[in-house]
Amino acid sequence: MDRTDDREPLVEVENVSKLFDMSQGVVDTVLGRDPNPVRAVDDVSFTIERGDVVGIAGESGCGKTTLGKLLVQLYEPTEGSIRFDGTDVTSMTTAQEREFRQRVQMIFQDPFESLNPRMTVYDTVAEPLKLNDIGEGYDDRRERVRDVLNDVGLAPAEVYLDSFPDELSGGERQRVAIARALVVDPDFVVADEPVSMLDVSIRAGVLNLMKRLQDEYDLTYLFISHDLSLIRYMCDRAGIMYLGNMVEQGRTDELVEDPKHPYTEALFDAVPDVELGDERRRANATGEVPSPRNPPSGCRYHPRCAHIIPPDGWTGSQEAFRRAFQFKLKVRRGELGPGSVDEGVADDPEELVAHGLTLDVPDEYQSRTEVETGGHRVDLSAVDLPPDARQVLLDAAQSIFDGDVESAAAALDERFTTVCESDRPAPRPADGRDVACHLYDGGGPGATDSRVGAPTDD
Amino acid sequence: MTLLEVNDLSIRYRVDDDEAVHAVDDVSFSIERGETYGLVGESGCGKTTMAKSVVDLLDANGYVESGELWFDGTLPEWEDERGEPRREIIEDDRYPVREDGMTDLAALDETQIRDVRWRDIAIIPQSAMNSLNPVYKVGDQITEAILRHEPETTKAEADERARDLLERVGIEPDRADDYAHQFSGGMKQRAVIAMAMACNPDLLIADEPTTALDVIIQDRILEELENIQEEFGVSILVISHDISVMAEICDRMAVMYGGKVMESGRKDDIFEETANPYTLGLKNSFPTITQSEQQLVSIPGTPPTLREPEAGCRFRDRCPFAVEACASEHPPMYDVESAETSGRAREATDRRSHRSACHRVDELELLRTEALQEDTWTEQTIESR
Repeated sequence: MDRTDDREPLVEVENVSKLFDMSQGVVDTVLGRDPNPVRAVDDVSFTIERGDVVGIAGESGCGKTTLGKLLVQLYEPTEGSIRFDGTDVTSMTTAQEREFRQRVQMIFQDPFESLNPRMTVYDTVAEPLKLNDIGEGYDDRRERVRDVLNDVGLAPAEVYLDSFPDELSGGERQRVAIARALVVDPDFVVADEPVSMLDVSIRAGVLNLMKRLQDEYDLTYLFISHDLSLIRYMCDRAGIMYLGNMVEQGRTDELVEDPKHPYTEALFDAVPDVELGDERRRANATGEVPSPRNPPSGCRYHPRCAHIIPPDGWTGSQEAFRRAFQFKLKVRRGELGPGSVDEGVADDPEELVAHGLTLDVPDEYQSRTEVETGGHRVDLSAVDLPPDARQVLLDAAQSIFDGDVESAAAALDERFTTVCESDRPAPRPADGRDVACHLYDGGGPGATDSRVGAPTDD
Repeated sequence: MTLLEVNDLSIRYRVDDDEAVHAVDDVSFSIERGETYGLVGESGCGKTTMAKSVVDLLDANGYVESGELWFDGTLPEWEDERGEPRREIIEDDRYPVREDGMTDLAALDETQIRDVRWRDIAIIPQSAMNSLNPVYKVGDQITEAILRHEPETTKAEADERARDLLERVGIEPDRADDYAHQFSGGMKQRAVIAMAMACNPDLLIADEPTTALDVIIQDRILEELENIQEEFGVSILVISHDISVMAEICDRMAVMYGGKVMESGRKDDIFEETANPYTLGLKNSFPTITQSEQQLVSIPGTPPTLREPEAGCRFRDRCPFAVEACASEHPPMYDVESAETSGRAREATDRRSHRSACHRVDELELLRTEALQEDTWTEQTIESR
């Protein structure tokens, strides 16, 4: 679906953040420690147009479920504003809130836990009607419940009305959960991993049902999933989240076929696919998602990024800078020490540098020496480092042997700087979507290069 | 060369009222040395039960009803100096050892099977991330496995090997002195793989090896399994519900449904020359990342419960192609190639060939064409058969 001018936004999210665990213990207060909250959602902005299916994808802990709950007011945002159909949802009157609670519904992940085991299907589905004061008496409500059950494929409804959840299969339960959301005729539905607990052969039925009901009930969906193939199947537009940030958003097809943000690229490369089999590329990312309690500075993804940007005046290759930067991170994390190199060469700084410059990436992105040594060392002469940078690395290695890790880290910090570490990238338009990545800042070479591999050498 | 030959294996779980759940029913397949074999299917299809039975790790109410698990390897006390079973053991009927030297794992008792676990067959359990002991150092847990199964090894040697194993799966050897909580999710998974390789087994059983992992880490673990296989030449039996993971790592695979193998063969045969209605339905029902215009079609109905199942094909209730014959007995495994070339259904004789359990295997072209139609898979069609 195209964004056309006559379509209006239904949900507008502006600079929304949600911080958890702001409270402090007595000891922390006495000692004057600053609270260290988790920034589950951090400065996220996006808009959902009426009638769209918008997907939110990302790895576990990226904040996608928190974002979904913010949109249905299960959480209050710590900062920023959320507008639903023009009304700010954080400052609604009671009457407005009643209306909001009817127009916005949520479908949860696990139908084995989201249904009350002691309520029949009728009770479950009729409850929102009672709460919202919809329907004239028992007969009318029963009629409405029957209709919606037929709509979600639980037909004939009479068979299901008096069943308890434990008598139903997973697929049927999720249909009951969908019926419960739709019985009040909402405008906007947030579906949080609605099929991840269902078996493959059942899933497609629930997904197709959701698609069909979108037309029948004139719905707008936010579809949250870690499964990118499902996002592709369901959503017109999608946003990719990483550690609370929205790193890229745009039309789903464009995101999948031509990802701009290095994280999006890695994420899609990592999805195994029946069509491609073992032919596909692996994800070019180092390490794992860091803790959201202590996220990296600048671009949250920079410690794992394949396309990290060297500083102005860097005369070596981008790959060499990435390696040197990883060396710096390893020193900072205390991962490099005399024990990292083989015993015979335990005091040779060159050996430590050759070991520290390795990348923790799939074989296809490693140098030949790395593959041959099982990722243990690189061939120093093959790494295109400027001479002074090489000297900084060697000096740092010597400092580590001398037991002075701090001065090694400080020297590395000074030489190997990058805009990715120092500045937080703001989302910028690039090829019809928003990307939060310094490669797309201004008119630099990275901004026009569709395959973001090329380092900026300006 | 065949490493594991599963022969008409049936496994049941006792439940109340003297009834039994037929979790695995008359299953046969074989795993060759050095290959990755996949068991794929939905929850409750018997794939995990099947895998656990190989090393006798069934739950207390589970038992092998019939069938054999022939494994190319034997107990240390039955070996001669070349590692082959001794002549008198083979000839003595009291020992479950065959003429060709294969041992029936299903016939071993509790203490005997312990010598097979780790040493010959290692298992990476489901939710392996939580299977490390939180109060022991990770390295010590690997060392313990080595010392338990190879008592002649010294502590120092075992420790050295543990560090070497960790390094091979991409963990700094120094981290052997860390505890599990100091490892990230992906590192725990790698450590469990290293532990499984501790005694250099011939067969590695990986039960949903990537299920709880994020997609980028999953990608790395799949690569790790491939590397391990290349380096050690170990055979891997992978169990997963995720068809795309299977498509990536398996050489051959079996599709299970309701305790039965519905189709088995080379991975490419299963995906490109699909020959069973269930597999055809399954292929219709999951999305792929590469296709933009796709229409998913689900299989109506739900999987059977397997408590005292009726005669007849297990998939019959949900199959749009069922005919009268399907009600009377579950189909045997037919040879797909011979059905396609001669148009006649003939039971497969080779476990490794492309086989399908379907009474209509002789009408494959028709099934494949119709399976692509969305109308084929509606409840109405299935009821009106």
